[in-house]
Amino acid sequence: MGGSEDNRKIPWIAWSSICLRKKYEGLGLREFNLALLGKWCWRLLADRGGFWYRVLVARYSEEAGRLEVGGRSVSSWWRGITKIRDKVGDTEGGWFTKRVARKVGDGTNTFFWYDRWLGDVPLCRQFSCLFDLAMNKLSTVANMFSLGWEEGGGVKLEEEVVGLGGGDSSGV
Amino acid sequence: MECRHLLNNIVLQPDVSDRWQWYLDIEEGYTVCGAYHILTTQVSPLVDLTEDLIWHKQVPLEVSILAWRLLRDRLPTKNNLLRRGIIQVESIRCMAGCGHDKSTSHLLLHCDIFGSLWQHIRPWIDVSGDDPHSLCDHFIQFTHYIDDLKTRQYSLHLLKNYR
Repeated sequence: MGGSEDNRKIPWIAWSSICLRKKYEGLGLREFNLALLGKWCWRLLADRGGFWYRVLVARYSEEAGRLEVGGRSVSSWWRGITKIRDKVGDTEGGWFTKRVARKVGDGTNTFFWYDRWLGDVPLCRQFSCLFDLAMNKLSTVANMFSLGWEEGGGVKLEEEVVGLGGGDSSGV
Repeated sequence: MECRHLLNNIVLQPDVSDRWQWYLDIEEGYTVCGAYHILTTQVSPLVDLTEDLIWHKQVPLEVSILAWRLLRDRLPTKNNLLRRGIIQVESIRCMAGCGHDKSTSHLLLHCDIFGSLWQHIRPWIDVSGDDPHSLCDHFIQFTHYIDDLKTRQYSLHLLKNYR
């Protein structure tokens, strides 16, 4: 380790000890890396104006406002990002998704089914039976609202279809 | 119905545009510093804690491996099989017919049929209590119920048979 003043050497430290939390005298490198990758996940949602985003769209293609995971042969940087972005649930991986949600104003830029804007999970997961039957899966919140969700509106119509569909309305 | 109930109180604000929010900082959004803080303080200490419980000398290796896979969500639940493209989305529902996706936490905790088994197991090992909501908490609670190592081994065996 170390070296004298005019003969500096690189101090070698085991990877496993660098990754230890600070309280165990490591650098917490793993978590730091996750936090930095999380910043990209955030920018994928909130800061799409840049050229970098267009490059990613060209490379991984975009569907319903979301970039595709892109199979196996992708960069480890991108794999790390999609892992954080797509991981849900209470296990350690869900730290990002459970803290980010869409705040709806006029509803024109929020996907009714895909974006998490109401409740803990996107409506397409919470009401997957309804979602399977939805005619337009890319409806925005504003679209659905203008159809009306009280009497005879888009949501109601689809609920009725589920009812007629026979028995599988348990998720509704 | 439930869906409509949720939507009932929603009113759109025509002059405000939609935007993303990061719960830790509603105004400014994501910060690396804030995320690093939650990652180093909240999330993994529990996982660290479970390490010693999982890889205990007295616990049979196959049980350790099962517990390790459980806490890292690596068990072949339907959700995970779907993620790997092994099954199709139509067959993802829980076997108990409760209409939920079969994720690990659903299967082991929240399912009305399978999750309720814990309440039946408790009397066997002579303890009482409620089920925590996260698998990790649940695991720790169950292994700490009993200081007696034999019983601890026993509860891990139960976990094994849960497969």
